[in-house]
Amino acid sequence: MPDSILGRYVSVNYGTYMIELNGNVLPNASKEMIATTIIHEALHAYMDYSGINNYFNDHDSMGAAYVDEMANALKELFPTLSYSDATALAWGGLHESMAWSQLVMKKPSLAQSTLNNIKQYIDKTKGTGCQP
Amino acid sequence: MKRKLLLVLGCILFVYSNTKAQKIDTVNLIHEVRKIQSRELALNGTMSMSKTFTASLLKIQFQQNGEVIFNKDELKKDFRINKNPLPLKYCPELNKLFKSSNKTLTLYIPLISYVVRAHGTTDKENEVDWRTKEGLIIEESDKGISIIFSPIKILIKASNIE
Repeated sequence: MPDSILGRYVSVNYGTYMIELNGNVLPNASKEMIATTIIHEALHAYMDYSGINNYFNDHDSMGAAYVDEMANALKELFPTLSYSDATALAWGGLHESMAWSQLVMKKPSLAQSTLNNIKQYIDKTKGTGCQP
Repeated sequence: MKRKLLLVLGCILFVYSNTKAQKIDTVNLIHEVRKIQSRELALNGTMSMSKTFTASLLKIQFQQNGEVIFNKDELKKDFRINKNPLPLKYCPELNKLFKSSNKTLTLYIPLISYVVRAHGTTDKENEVDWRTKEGLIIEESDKGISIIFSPIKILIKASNIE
């Protein structure tokens, strides 16, 4: 798995999915980022299972309708996480979506700070790490 | 005297058969809900259901004609992963995952949850609180039987471990 991909999902059988986490990058990332990756991939699995979407427009749907849900899930897991950081993390992996393009157009500074935030949670300058 | 005795016996029989029917209803209810797990039903959005149940629904409507209507928009909003935060939150679990490619964590995502109560069913025998192999979760609460069905099973592992 290339370093640019933090996780991926595969269907094992009906109703069962396997999420693979990038074992090179994520062990050194914050656990908020690891959780975000799992939530993101689990949402793919959910969409696949529910027949809501297909592989090609999952990210568009996530960007349009699930960023808040993912941010809320993160807030519930990590109560001290700020809502703006939780939202930034929820945008992770959605940078090719239409909703992201709109954010970049309408609020470029917010988009940039979102990217910065994600990077910081990946390199653990923000968040809580697991490895010493 | 004979008449009175017959009347009393009749009443006892009536109460007994009614209680028995309620138990069967609950079993049928669970059986019917299990059927919803099939992808076909989830996609078609309808299934037949006995009219004998009262239901308080969050995401699904029980129609008088016995149909259960899925609201796909509601379903879409019901993605919840917080139900099983353990593997996502705690370092020991995550560290184990990253140390061995053989280690797998499992979590479930409930798709839809709602509360159903069979008429007058209060006896403990009908309580169910388990997760089946198929992933159906049924929990008893003071509001009735809470059924979370079709949860997705997610296995999590790390790859690229050297």
